[in-house]
Amino acid sequence: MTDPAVSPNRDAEPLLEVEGLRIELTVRGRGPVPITRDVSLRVYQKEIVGLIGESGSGKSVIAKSLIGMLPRRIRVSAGTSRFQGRDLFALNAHAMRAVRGAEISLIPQDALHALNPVKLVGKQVGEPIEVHTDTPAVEVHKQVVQLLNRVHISDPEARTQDYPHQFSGGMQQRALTAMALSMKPPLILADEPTTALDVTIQGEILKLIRELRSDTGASFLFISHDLGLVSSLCDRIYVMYAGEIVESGTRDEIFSNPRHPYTRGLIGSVPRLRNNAARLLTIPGRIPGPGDEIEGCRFRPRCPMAEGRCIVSPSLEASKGGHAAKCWLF
Amino acid sequence: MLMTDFNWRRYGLVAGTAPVVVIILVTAGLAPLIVPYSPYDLDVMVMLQGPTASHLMGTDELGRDVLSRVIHAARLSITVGLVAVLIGSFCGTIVGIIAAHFGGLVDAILMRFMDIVFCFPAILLAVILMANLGTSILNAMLAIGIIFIPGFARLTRAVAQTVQRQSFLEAAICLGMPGYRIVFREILPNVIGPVLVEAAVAFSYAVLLESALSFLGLGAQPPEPSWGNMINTGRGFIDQAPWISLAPGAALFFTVFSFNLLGDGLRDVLDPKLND
Repeated sequence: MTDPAVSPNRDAEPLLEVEGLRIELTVRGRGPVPITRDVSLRVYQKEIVGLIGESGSGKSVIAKSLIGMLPRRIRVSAGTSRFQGRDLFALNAHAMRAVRGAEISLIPQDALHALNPVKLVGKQVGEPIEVHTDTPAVEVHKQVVQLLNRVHISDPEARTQDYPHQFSGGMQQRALTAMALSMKPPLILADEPTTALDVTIQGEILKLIRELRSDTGASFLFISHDLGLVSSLCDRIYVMYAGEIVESGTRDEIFSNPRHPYTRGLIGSVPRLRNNAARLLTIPGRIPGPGDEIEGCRFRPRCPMAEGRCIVSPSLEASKGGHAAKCWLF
Repeated sequence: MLMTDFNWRRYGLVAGTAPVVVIILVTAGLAPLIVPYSPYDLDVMVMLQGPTASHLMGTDELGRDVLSRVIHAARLSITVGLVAVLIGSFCGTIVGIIAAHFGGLVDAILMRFMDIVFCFPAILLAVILMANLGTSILNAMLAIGIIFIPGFARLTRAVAQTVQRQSFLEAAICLGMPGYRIVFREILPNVIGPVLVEAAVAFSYAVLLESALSFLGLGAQPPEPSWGNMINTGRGFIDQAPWISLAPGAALFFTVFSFNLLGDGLRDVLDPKLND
């Protein structure tokens, strides 16, 4: 991890810089409901950044907003997203399409349904190249074989002629990863790419992502609810709670010195093999929905350390090292 | 392929019915070459004759060879069926995909219009269309084709909507695919299978409808032979010469039956759940 070729360069300009992102859901007869509030995050070159949070904390919607794939009735109402000299939120549909798949690609969540069942795998993996360039078909095929080889699919030449159902779950996710890599995009969004897979396959995919980062120099924004995964993979981590980033820092900072009570709760509730505790720690209560108005800190109703001053919302304060937490206690 | 390796569950039905369908199609296609007599030649010496060695299916009230007429009629029925199914599936698929792709108001208007067409009984609708277009076999094809449009439109729309909710479609958008390519390269390949199955079944229904229209005097005009008008003519002689109606009736039955089975077989072949 300390290998300079692999470690991210945080002195240079960030590859992606999101500032003050607010995403709103329009509910009929109720006005806009914020899904995320004031989210700011950075991804540097060659960095694997983790975005973690419970279901419904707004992590996937952030990824979708970056590539203009927000569903109807959900829109970006404030914020900027600087990526290679442009604001992604200001791009029109046509310009956005040129970015998708070519400069920012997505490894989807649902590997088992993300390939078209009636089309050959080889054809599909080459599709980003076909869509974005005029490469002749023979050349595309060659690149597809290389890509499949790159993600460790054995006998890639023959496998291009398979249909998705002839691939195992792990192989489908590998094929999708190959597809995301095909245009050599500088940024790859991985939206819980391993949730549909079993644990041993998960490990292989994570290994592959690390390998690809050092080989291709691409940055990854890795979205997950699984703290264990993020801890082994990511360089830096953003912890989300109810549409806000509550803590951010390097992996070591977050895991050895968690500041926000929510992060502490999350780390405490990861099951461990050698754990003497009779019961697994849990965080009481449940995550507030987008429409739920909470005065002050949004974690206050569930927080074991809540105090009187928590009725006023704290800001995300960063210490010298860049480790930041949105809590009065730190 | 060894017989033991053959996947009967998947390919059995098609393997069984395809030869029958091919025989029917070839017979119809080569009709002028293989018929023993001209279907129009009268021979008053042999009127209403039962099956003999020279007239395998007997003769009708004007002494025409029933077998020759049945074979010639197959030609007409199959042409009508093919053209009608082509019209229906082509227009229906376009309507269905447009409705699913645009959704909202476009979807509502198109599909409610399809519902209106759908709610007429097929024969009644055909009769209305023929009354307006005039009685000719060409108009029969058109009328039957129009009747099929709503069925194909609904089927296509349903499949396209299912496909649109799948994550591979979102993945396609994610890789920057333009809209027309999504329709032609992602949605259409998924629609073709079900449309093909529906087409085989619709074909047999088209043959049946054409016969019904001809029976009612709205399709093929005498002396042009058609199974429908042959059955109709035979009605008057059902006591003395049942073969005049029975022969075209049997031909109709076998054609419809084998195309229906072919449709079922195609469904098995195209069903991804019955994998080898």
